[in-house]
Amino acid sequence: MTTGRPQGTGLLEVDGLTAGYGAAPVLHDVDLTVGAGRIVAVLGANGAGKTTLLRTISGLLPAAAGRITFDGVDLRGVKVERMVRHGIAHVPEGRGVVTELTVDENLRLGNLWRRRPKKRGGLDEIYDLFPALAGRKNHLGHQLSGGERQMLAIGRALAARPRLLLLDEPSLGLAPKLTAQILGLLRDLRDRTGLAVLLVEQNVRSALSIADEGVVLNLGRIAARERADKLAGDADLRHAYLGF
Amino acid sequence: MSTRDEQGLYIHHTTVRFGGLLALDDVSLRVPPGRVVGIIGPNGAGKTTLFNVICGFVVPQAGAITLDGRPLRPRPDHLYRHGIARTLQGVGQFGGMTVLENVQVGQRRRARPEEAYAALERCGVAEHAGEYPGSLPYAKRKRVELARALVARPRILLLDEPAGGLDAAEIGWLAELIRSARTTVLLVEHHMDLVMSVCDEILVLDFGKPIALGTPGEIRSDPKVAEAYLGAPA
Amino acid sequence: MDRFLYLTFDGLSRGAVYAAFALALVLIWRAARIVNFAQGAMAVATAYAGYSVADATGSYWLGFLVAVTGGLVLGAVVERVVMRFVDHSSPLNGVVVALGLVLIIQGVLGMIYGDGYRPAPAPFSRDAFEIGGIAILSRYDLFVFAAVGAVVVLLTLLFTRTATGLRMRAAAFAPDVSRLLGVPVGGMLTLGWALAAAVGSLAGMLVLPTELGLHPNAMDLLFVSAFTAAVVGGLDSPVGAVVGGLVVGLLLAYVGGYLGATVAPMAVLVLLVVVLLGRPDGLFARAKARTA
Repeated sequence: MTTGRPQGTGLLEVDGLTAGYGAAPVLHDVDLTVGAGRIVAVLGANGAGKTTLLRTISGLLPAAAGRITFDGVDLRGVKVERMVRHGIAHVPEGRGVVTELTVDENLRLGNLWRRRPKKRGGLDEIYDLFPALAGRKNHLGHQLSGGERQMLAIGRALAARPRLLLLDEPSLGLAPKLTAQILGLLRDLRDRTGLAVLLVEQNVRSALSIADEGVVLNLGRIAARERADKLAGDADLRHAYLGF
Repeated sequence: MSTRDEQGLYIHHTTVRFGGLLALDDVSLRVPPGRVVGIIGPNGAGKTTLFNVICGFVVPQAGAITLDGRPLRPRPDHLYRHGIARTLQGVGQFGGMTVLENVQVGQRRRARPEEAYAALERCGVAEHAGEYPGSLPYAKRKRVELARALVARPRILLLDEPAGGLDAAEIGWLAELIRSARTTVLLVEHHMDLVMSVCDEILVLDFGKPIALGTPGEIRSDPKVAEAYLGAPA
Repeated sequence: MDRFLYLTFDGLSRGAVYAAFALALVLIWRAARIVNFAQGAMAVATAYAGYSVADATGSYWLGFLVAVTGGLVLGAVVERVVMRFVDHSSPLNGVVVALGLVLIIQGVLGMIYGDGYRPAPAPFSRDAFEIGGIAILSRYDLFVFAAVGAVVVLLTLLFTRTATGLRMRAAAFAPDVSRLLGVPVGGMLTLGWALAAAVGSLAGMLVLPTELGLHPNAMDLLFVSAFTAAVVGGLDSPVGAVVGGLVVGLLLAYVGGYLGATVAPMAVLVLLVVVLLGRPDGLFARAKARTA
């Protein structure tokens, strides 16, 4: 692959990762680097291991082999609930809004990993980012539309002030305009705050439009790693792994 | 006998209110037999509500639906008699039944189990017939959901976001299935490539109001649609 | 009319205890989706400890404190040492383990304290004040109302106003998501059990002086009433538990007063069956999300 991996400069470094459910690994020997202030899109067919990759990085699944380091810290043995302290926030597939809690309570959860959560903990800033949520502070999660839930899940992750955001299929069930807004927001955050994003997205074109780099997973192995603009223009790769 | 004009599904000036919220505002749509009609619009525009009206889950405050010129007073449990089948957005399968049993629920009375199996085959999930839906990945469950709708050989197929969570190859397969279904299809979907490639006609809703109706080409170039729904390309 | 008033107040004061005990069941149900059938036995165990301390030191209040603190500890231990290792794929597993705990606790108490009733004196007079010639409430009844009221208020404040309360609710509703947000889900579960057991012990200390006294099986009947109260309230709703407790208390008082004491336990079972048949999700199921 043409882009040389910047050795040792990544915020997140994944080396030789093998992981999966039970005895059969889904991921085989995966190497990956996400630098600070970079958006890396993980692409590939369903079943390629994209979600498994995010779940292993955030500790929801154990790694069978390999190393994951974040800002120099070895994440092996770090419990899921400690990840957010290290600066990693994971918005899972299906959004994970707590439907029994209100919008405001959900957002406050983003802040609760601190021993002494700040009173409003910068939530006003999140409401500024997502004005649609500001009008619905006291609505319960299950009263929200799909788009609002996605905004809430992302807003809650941002409230944790992460340095790396793991984002699984943010466009699922969202109108194109809303998808574009959310992706645009990620690009702004990257530029303004240096947020790094590992983005799993089925909508390849949208994902590559904001990503710096694209990684193609095929049957659990890295099949290609390219600059996003090159990947978007590479018809052979698209045909081979992305189906269009 | 009904005239040619009345053939198919006809939604007349339908209005639905939930409390103070106007979910559908005077929506009309004619769907002749065999036509594939897309319904698009922002989240919360009333697309699913329109499906719920057709299925009888929601009773409109005003308006009527006719099927081949006759008024359709739908009840969810009588849908199959009218030849209407629907898939659900959130994949509503019975966890305690196998995949095959789930599809058999969608069958007409006295239908043979082989037909259910054939529907699974057509949707590419026959090898999972004996498994439980909960153990399948999301995209596979979507196919089971489609098989369950197709097994009744519906005249009208209502598809609610069938492409959500599918990858590009799977969406290609879905497009082929819709084109070859040879039934009337109403498609609610956010995946614009799919909508534009399979639909004969597209209705755009915004805050319950129809803001555009036309061919994919017309919709794509409609500034109102770009403003309300498509947005500027990212 | 006098009799009706008397029975009403009697029912409310009993109901307050059922409410507290039902609240303990609801707390664990919400946190872990287990009906803690060992709640009664655990409460009796801490009551024995409390009264032993009270006897030795002469201070009821020190004993009271020991009982409630003992509940806190016992709840945490039961969760950490036993319940955490139960396979929760079937709801029956937790029930069977809880029933096993009942046998163990009652057996151990029997070995230590014997099978006889021991006195469980009340800290306040149980003689009712008379207003207009009707015996209405005793000092002890007022103490019961105050204690249960304080528990309800404190729990409400904990769950709605504090970060820990929000963590506990999130951990119960969506453990995986909560973990990703840095909530120590296991710790919240332990805390839930500890709080519930403490509330159960408090209810035990409140009810024992009004019954025959301390005995390993002393809470068995109370458990049935409190369980009914929790089910009437919908198992998931703290408000439902309180209302359910008062309803069961009144029912027991009226049926016992007008139809005879032997019929009363039957009435509770009839109520349980009627609610399970008519509204299996409880009278407050709809409101659950809003009161959460």
